[in-house]
Amino acid sequence: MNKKLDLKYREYSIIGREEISPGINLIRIQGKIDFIPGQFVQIALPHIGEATFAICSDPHEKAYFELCIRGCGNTSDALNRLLIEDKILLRGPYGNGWPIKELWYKDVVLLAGGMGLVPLRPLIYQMIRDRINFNKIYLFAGFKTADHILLENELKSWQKKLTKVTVAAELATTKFWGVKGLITEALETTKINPKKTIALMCGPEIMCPFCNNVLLEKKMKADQIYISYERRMECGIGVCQHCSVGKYLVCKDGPVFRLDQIKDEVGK
Amino acid sequence: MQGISTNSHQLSQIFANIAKTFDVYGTVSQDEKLNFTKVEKFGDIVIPTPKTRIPFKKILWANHQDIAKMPLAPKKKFAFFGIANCDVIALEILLEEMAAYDFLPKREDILIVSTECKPDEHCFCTAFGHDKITDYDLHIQKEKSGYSIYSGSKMGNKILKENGLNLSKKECLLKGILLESSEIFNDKKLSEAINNRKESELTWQGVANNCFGCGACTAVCPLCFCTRQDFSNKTDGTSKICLNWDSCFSKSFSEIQNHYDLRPENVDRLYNWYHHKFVRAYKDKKHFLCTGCGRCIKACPAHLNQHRILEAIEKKREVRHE
Repeated sequence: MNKKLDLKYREYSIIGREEISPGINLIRIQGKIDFIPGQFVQIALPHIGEATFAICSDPHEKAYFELCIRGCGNTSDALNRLLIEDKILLRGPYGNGWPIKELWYKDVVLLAGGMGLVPLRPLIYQMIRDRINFNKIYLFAGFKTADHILLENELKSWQKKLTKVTVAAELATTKFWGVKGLITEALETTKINPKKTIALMCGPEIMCPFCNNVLLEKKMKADQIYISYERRMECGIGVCQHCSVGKYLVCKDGPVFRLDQIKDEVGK
Repeated sequence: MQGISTNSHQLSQIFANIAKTFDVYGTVSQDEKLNFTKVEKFGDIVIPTPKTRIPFKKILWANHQDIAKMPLAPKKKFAFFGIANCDVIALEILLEEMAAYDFLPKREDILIVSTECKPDEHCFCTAFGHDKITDYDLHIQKEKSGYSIYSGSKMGNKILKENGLNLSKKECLLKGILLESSEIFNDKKLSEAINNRKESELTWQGVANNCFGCGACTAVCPLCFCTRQDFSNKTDGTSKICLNWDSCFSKSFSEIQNHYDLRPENVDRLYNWYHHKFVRAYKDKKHFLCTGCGRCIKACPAHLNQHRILEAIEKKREVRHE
């Protein structure tokens, strides 16, 4: 884990760009970055601004890394307009990342809502690589409509490599290859062994309590559920206080929190 | 603690010698307004020292700092000459909070020459038990005729010796803080009372209803250091990334994408201010991010009294608005 708490920027150049969903681009950046799945970086574009993104490529990839950008602000809109060979400033990675060692020899339930799939993608790559270290791996990915599905080809390819991949779209059309509805409905009908399962979750703030309820109903305990939080981050190193959740700072103590540690703090 | 009696001539000489190796900042009176700024000569420093509206943080943790120029590397070391005791404590706390980063100079690179303070009706440092003068290298106190000077560190001793003062000749007594002592807070109890928001929800709501959410308190507080990264773009095409002061009272402070605000109400933002100062900081480093300097009370356009609010929360009663 990178423990240097600094604000030093490094310059990288973009070598690839692909639109994976309307308004969402996967940009490929030249260079190697040492990171734990779930960690994030701060990307700055001079004259425009800075924003936080989770790295979403395979952590073993040495030549490049990838970021998934949805345009929803100054910086992300500008990032979506960048072309190959354009330069970006980057600092990080920051944060703790997913607790990979906790998952060893256990069943893993991955719950992703929309862009929440992005921070889980490097973890899925790593788990597929070390498949022998994990028991069953269930992936539930929920999207608004079938058009909003991210990384469709990869999700299809993971169906062979993971125990079960459920792609749900809330407002699906008939042609859709996944299931219609919410991931909580798909999760309810899935049998899991509450004693040896760990659940990892990333998605919109509103999704987490519903998923938690389903998991807790299935007799899982709060210390078996991990959530990756999204907050506004300005510094990424624990100075600016924008990302506080109760006594924790998402950038320094998170972004991944265990439910039993965080549940009393949410809303403070 | 005993000190050496001295006079303004001798102190001017000490000041001149310090200014050779340090950039000296202190409380001066400019156009009838108090300002914490660069000091040229000893005579400019106001003693006893009242508090300035904006504290020392504008020097160490300046607004609009260029990130490329951080960590702060001044050509000369800093000397704070003419600073009240509450600000000295605040400085120590700020340095401790920033100890993990390379942004601020180390304590040994800052010379603190504190001066006797002039409390006003808003001060409440004694409520946190800060009734003794502490953490100074040198301390200057006004006497009936002339001044007395005290050394609190090796650096202080060295400076006094270099200026020919006889350290063994001690004849004056160090005064405490000349402030009516108020009831002292129980740190643990206060922190727990603030952490338990539900119990005092009505009180918080009452305070928030009177608060404009302007953030004046955060701007003047020596221990409010929230920042925002902004770009300073110039017409010549250059751009630099700056750390700007931010206020947790601003509406977009905890906004995430799609304008989803995690602290939509003023009461949430107000509570977060107290939570950071008295719960998060206390759990983390065993200190409060408040020394009772009273600047926030003086600056508040809604006349909220933070001292009374803390008392009300600790004792779980309603706040009486003045």
